[in-house]
Amino acid sequence: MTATPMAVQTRPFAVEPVTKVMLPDGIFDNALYNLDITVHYTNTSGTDLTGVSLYLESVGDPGIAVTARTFTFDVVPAGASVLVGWSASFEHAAPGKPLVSFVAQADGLTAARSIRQIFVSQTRYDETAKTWTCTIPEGRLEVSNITAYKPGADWWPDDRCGCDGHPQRPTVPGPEVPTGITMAWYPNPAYDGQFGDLPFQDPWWKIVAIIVAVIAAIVGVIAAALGSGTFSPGVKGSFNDDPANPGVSCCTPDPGGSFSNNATTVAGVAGVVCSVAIAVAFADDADPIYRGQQNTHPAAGELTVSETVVGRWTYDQAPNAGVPYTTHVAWSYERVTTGATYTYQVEEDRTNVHVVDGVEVDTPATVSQGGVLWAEAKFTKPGGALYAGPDLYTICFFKSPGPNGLYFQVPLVDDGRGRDAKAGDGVYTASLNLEVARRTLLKQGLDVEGLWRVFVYAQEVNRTSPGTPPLVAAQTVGGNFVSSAVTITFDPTLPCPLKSQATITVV
Amino acid sequence: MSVQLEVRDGSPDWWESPDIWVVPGADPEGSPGAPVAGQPAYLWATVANHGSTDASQVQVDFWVADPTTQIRRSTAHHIGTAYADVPAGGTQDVLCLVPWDVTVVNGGHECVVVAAASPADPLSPTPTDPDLLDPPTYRQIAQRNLSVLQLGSGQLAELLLTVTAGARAAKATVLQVGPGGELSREVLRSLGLRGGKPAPDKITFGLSAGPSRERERAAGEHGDAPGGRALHLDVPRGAAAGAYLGVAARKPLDAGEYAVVRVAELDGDRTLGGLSLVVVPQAAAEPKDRPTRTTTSRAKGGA
Repeated sequence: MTATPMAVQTRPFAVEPVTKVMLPDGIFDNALYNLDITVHYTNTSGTDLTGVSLYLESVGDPGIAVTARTFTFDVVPAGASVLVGWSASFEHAAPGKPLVSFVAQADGLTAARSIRQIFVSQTRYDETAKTWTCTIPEGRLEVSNITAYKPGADWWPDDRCGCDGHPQRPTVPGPEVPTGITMAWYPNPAYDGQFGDLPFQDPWWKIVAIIVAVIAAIVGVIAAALGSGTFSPGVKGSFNDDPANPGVSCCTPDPGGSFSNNATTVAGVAGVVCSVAIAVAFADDADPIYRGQQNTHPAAGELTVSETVVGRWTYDQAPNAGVPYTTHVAWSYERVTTGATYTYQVEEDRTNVHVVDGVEVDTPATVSQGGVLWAEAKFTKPGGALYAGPDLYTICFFKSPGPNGLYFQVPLVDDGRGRDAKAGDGVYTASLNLEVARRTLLKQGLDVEGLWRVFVYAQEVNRTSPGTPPLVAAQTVGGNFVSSAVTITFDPTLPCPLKSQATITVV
Repeated sequence: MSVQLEVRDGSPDWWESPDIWVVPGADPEGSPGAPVAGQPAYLWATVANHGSTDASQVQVDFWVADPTTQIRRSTAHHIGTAYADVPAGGTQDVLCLVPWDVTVVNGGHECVVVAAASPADPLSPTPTDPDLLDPPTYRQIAQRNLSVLQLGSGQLAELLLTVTAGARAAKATVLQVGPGGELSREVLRSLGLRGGKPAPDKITFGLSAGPSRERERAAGEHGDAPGGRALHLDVPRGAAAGAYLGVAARKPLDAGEYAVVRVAELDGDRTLGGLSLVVVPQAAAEPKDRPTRTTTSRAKGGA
């Protein structure tokens, strides 16, 4: 009998379940205790498969505790990729590259196994030294002195009063737009020659720095939503005000709704969108540590024990998802060896390359109360091609009418199932049955009728094939937002605009 | 509507389960073979469901233990957990991706135990000693206490066996050693052996309470293993006692020949546990072609 032609073709990625955002380049970090191991599972055949079941079989690190679950699909169309994720606790995970195995089985076929590596880092914060340390198998990156444009005020969407017997919740920090960073890399072990190992033998060192920045940005969001038990208390640090631009502040999000119904995503997205500006300033094609290595030449016999990059930059405009904003960056690199110290400096402009030509969201103008809300989204790459299928990790929210309307998170997929007409055609489809939504709204005393807003978020998935040479793999970075409903501005007097990409009137 | 899980016991001795195997090396999907001390190895098991209902998310736990007879959860080393969906009337191979770092203790001769658990198929009867991993009583638990011993001409091999008493009861037990017969091709392949011919008369074996002395080692080098066929042990509760299994080659084993040595732990007429060694000439236990057992799942639906 033939094996089921379903496979996990690329590296599984980390999704933080409170904010729903993918972590930079899909890397898992044990400072965030709960993460979803998320994959696109692909029907690699030319025929539709029926009665498909998918489960996570095993993880190579006993410190990672997965909640067992089997996903079933009546049909997975030919060539389609379905998005599935398993909740897991990473609290006791070790930094490394453990294997994860997945099993797929369809009617009339035998089970087939896919084995893939995931990347796990460990981030901690030293309150005394004001330094984050991110540990990975190839060494540790110490990050300090992150300077940023801060928001005009911390925020909390509702119930901030702490009245009526409800405890006062912490306010939500951010978003904070980074304008500088110091990152010091300590390779393990010290290496000879000009070049050291890349982190995880894959991404640039700057990705590790972005992990730190993202964690620092979203732990406050998670803590505000769930309490501090959901992440390592050792990662709470804060960014510094940008001393070069003390008068510049960032906007403050105002998503409405409450944290209990997915407004957390707004905060998480804003944090990630801002943090990945570090990647823009430090360039995708070669990050500063690599360029420093290229331009400094240790003497024979010397071992490199540390490499430090200090970078500062400014923006030509606020760093928004999918927009080609430019940073003017100056950075210095210092290589310390067992025999000498070598330096290299750069000053240049760098532009965001993770851009889209357009995001188009189609919806029906009106829907009756018992009907189905739907949205079709297309994300166009520069040059006109569409992102399709597993190129993106996408989520969609339908927000019910009124200032305190509820957010309904629904899958936004291009897998040819349900309302999605065709797998992999670049049209991502989401739908919400209003009969189901109505029951939830009635419990809250909210209306179904009125203007519903549609919000679409999309992050690029790193689709580098396993086995790609490290220096090639490093140039592909996943986790960047190409579409976000949250807009960052440098005007602290107004909320960060939360722009719905479409509206639907329910009558 | 029922779920009936099974990891098969071995025959004639349950500790030679054909449903458990080891893949030495860094590739978990590599060829089965004997674990190599100092290198990682991956553990596999085949779980069957004889019931009429599909079993979803069956939890499969893997342990290794010193070469011992009865295996206890408290003293065995839990390697990892895997999950499997096992269709009614079908089987599913299960891989534990946590690598087993094979230690040099006893040259990697360790025992593997696998237990498949599902709320739909609880252990019955309820274990009186939950610490005990009890393959002969429960179809969901199986043991592979079967390893390869490479023995050159004029060599005496000694293996330390451990007998452990429970935390709340002392144990008086008898270890008994004897020759084993022919092994199935399936079992031989799972050990990385490509068939072979039994040659039980070419080896000697014995059990001792302590390690061999110089004179005994000299005798062993001439093919006479020290010790007797049986050894009585009194083990205080919560403690462990050691016994030494000596194996020597009376005549050199030729290529393709093997001999099986079986050790059983007895309580009166009752067999509590055991282990088996497949003695082969040196360098005979290279990993061979992978057996055709890795896609044994029965299809769901129309099959």
